[in-house]
Amino acid sequence: MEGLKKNMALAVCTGCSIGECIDVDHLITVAGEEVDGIACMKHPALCSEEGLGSLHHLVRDSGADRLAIAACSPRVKSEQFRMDGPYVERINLREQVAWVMDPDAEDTLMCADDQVRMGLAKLGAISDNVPYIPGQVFSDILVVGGGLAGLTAALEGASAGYRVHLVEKKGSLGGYAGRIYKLMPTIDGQEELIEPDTSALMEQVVSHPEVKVYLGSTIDSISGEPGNFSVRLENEKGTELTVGSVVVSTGWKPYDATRLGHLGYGLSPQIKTLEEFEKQVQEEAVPDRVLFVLCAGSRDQAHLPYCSSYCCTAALKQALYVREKNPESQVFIVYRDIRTTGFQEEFYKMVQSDDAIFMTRGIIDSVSLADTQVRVKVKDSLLDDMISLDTDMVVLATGMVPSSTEDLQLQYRLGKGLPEIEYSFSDSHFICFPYETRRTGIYAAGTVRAPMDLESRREDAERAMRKAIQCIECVKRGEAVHPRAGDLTFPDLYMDRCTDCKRCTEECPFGAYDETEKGTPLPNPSRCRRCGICIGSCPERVIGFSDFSINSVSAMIKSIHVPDEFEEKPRILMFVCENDAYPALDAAGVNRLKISPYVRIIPVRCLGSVNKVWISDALSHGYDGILQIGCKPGDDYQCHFIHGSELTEQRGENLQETLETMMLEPERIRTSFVEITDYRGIQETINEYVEELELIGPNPFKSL
Amino acid sequence: MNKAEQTDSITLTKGKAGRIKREANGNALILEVEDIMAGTRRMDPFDMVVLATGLVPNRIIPVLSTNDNGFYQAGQIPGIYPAASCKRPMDVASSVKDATAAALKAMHQ
Repeated sequence: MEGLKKNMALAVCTGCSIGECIDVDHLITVAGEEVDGIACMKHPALCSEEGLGSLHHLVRDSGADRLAIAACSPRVKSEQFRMDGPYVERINLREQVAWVMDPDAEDTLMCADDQVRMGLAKLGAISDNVPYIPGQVFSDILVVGGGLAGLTAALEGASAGYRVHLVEKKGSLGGYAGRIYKLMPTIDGQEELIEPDTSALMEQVVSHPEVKVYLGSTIDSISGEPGNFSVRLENEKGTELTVGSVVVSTGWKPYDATRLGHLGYGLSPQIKTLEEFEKQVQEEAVPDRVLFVLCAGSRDQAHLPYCSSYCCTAALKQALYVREKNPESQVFIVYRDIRTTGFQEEFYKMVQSDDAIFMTRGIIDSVSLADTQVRVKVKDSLLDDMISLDTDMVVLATGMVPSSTEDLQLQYRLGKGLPEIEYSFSDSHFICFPYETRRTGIYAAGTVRAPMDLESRREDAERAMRKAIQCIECVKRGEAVHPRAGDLTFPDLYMDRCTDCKRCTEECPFGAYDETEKGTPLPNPSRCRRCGICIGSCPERVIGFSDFSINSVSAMIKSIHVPDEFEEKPRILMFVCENDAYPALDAAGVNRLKISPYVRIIPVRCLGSVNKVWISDALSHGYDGILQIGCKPGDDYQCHFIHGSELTEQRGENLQETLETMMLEPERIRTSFVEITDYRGIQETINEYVEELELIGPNPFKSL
Repeated sequence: MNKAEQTDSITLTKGKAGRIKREANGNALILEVEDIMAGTRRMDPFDMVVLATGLVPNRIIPVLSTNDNGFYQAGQIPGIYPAASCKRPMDVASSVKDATAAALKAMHQ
């Protein structure tokens, strides 16, 4: 690549106390030593209008296609420093040097020099990027499941101008919502239950010119990638479709009541579930005394540990069905807690005000038959008393179990369905990105994703459809979707050196790689989230992004000047995950917490992207230790790429073997996890590690 | 909630806080609470009391009408889409979700 010599420029800002802390002229001298003929400038406020003017001049006059901006963190001022022409590398002098190290001290200046060397080394090692766009990008959207969520998604997608294919395995639309007798009132002051509007919604969907409905159809296979999924349906016609993205709204089923023998299910047809009663109330007369058991098999470690969030309201509503259909009736509701959030609380108050509805906080002790009635013994937890109630009917408010997403028949190396969390709901990064599954371009909506009430299902379907549309539009531009939204780079494989070891196909959390029978990876770049975990997985080092590759990071590692062992200035390489650890480090800077000037920081897309060769490069270059800081792994993981940190922990064992073969102490490599808010923790982690290494002494490879 | 319940240093009490007053000669706050499950009244000292207050919507768009509780009602004026906690009390994840949904509404043709 010698022929494509890069034209580089460097702009240094001396504002925000950078100038008072660092000898900026020396930085410019260093840049000149590193890159022949580099065009340089400094400015007291680079982000000001005047500063930006000078910056644009510099780029124009030098014809630079690679620009280093040594100023504040890349996490701020990104709008100001976005350039149309050159690739921009932000060198963080403010948060990582000036605000955290002693002004003008020798070690501080050495750190600043190395920051500049690393930035320039990276610019020298990256290549030009041509975004990946599939051969043809389709804007049609597949919706799987025709219940309330599926219908809403279909109508919303079509209304936004996208053609929607709605697939329903049953012979009719509507799902659970289509079987509902009445809804709770939603308007202020309204006291009557209202008629469901699902049939109106179905009518709108069916008559929309941009919606095509496939009833009695299941999925035979889905293959391909966002922008270009091939879908085969199993129906009479054997329909074949090509779509850009998919919304999965396959819904839920009630928890298996046959497992609730302790609540009397199975003793008599008088003991029913909410769903069974919903049907009965529309077909038969309602008896005089009905008892509802809330949390039937829910919030119970032996059954469903979670709250399904809809059953309280559904049971309260059914209590009103009983009262409405049979004015002579009495209703008993046995509850542990009533969970009616938001405006549903008013509905709860309304139900409470009915004198013939009796609420008892308690736990079911036994359910038995007594003549023609059912006898329910309740341990009243408020009065600490045992109550016996004879009733004509018992309704168990059972919770929700999501339907299986295996029916999607994804032709992915990593499985046919969406990956699940512990309660078998499809996984998402539930706090920051509640709408994402681990399969890019495939969005779960409604109760297949999490238990929720009817209103939430509608909202959930709307946002899922919006993400499905966004995904298509991103793919058209070659951009990644979340969390690296807008990223135009993608993993490129140098297949000549691939040994078919399958690590990348196994470790990619998003199933971006399929593989041939032989094990050769088949990349689907638009499925990719751009985390770079495949870079970390590849023992042959054949995977890289244009601006984040084995070479670019190695060049950064090797660019710094390592003082010899007699100078007693240790060097610690830090791989810092850019998602949480890097912002935490910035926050440490904002709070002016002192950080050791011996560390050299390389941001990475995810800790999982760290390749073993970088570690050995660093150790043989003379770094005394390597500290990797990422997001929390485990059940409550905070890794933005699901299991990047976990992989780092696993790979850590192999790294220890590397250390052993190099006859180095195990402490030379350390992995830590921080939360984004824990800026004090990250300071302590770094400084304690530096102290520990000082006790161990210098890396013996330093003088080699 | 299970996690909170299982944490030894967290005690959950079902009850109503009656009054909070400062200890006569000290800094502690005394919380007078009716423990419903135990059927007793307790006086517990604390260093700090946090009131879990509810949320009240911000109203800055005068043309939109609200419900009895002051939250905007959706779908009143084409082109204006209330999102998240000005529409209904909701948590962070639901707000993210609802804002995404509102953006879709704004795309309608």
